[in-house]
Amino acid sequence: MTLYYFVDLYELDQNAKQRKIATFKMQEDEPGKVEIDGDHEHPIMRHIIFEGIFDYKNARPGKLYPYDGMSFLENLKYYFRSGYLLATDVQRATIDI
Amino acid sequence: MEGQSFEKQHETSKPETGPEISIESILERGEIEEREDYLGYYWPIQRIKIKDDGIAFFKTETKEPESSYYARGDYETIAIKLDRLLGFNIVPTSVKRTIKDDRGIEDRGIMECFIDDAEPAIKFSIDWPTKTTQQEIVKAAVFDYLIGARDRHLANFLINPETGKIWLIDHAVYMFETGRHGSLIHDEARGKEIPKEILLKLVALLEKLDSVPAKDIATYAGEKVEVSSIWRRIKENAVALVNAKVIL
Repeated sequence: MTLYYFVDLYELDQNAKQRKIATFKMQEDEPGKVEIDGDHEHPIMRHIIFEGIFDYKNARPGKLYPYDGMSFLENLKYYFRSGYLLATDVQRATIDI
Repeated sequence: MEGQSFEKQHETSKPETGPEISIESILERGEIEEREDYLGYYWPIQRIKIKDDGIAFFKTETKEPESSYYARGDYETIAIKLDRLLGFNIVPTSVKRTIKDDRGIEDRGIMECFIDDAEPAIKFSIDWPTKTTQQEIVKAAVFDYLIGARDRHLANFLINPETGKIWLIDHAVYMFETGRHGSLIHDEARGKEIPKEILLKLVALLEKLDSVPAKDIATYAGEKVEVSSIWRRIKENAVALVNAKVIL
C-alpha cells in the first residue's frame, strides 16, 4: 500500500467547461519528487516546470517548483484560483502496488 | 464590450430595433439555465449559463468564512467600479447578485462575465509581452499602479493574442491587501511614458473621485472592506502618475 498526495489542475474550454490539464502527484516516501500526469508540453505545464509558482502559504520569497514537493503541491490552489485556471486542494489516495 | 460573451450572443439574437440590453442587466437579472460547480479549492466558483445569453462565473460570498479577509465580492466591486470610472474596459463586467441554490437557500455573490476570446497569460509564459501591445501594457500597468496590485502574476490576467487586448482578473484580497508579489505588468511598464489619452482619463478620474463621497463608494462596494482607505490610496496614486507622466 502506497500513499500518494495529488493535486488536479483545470483550465476552461471556449464554453467555460473545465478540462483537466494535469495531475501533480507525490509518493509519501519520496517527498521531493512530484510527478506530473499530463502533457508536459502544454504551455502552462512548461511554465510551471521552468518558471515555478509563488509561495503563498509560508509567504517566502522566491519560487516553488515540482522538486519542492509538498510545499509546491500546497501552493497550487492559491496560485490557480481565478476560475479560468483552478487547482484542487492536496488530496490523498492509497494505491496497491 | 470586446470579448464579453453576452455581446457576441446579442450580435446574432438581438432584434434590430428595441432597447439596448446591457451586460450588467443580463448579469443582474438573466434567467439562470444551468449551474455547475467547478472543481477547485480556494473559493467556490460556479459556471452559470444564462438563458438566451452567455456564460458567467458565480463567485459565492455566502460560503466564505465570515471575515473581512475573504470579502472578495467587495474587492471585485471596487475593481470594476474603478475600471468604469477610468473608462478603460480592462476588467470583465461583474455585478453583485443573490441567487437561490438547489435547496432554495439564498446565495449571495458576484456574477462575472466569462471572457471567451482570451487566454490566461501564463499560456504565453515569459513571451506574454509579445502577444499584446505597448498601449495595453501601459493601460493595465496604470490600473495596477492605482490599486497597488500585489498579486498580478501570469495566471491573473488574460490576453487575446489576435487583438492584444488584456483583461485583468481575480481582484480579491490577495490583489489588494495581502499578496507579496507585485504586478508583472507594472514591472514590464515601469518608466514608460503614459500616453496623453490615458493621462486625460486619470485627470477625469480625479475629478470623479472628488465628486463621489466615500460613503457612496462604501455603500456600492459593501461594508466588509475598508473601501475609503483603498479609494484614498487610488487617488494618491493617480495624482502621482499625473504628475510624473510615466509609469513609476
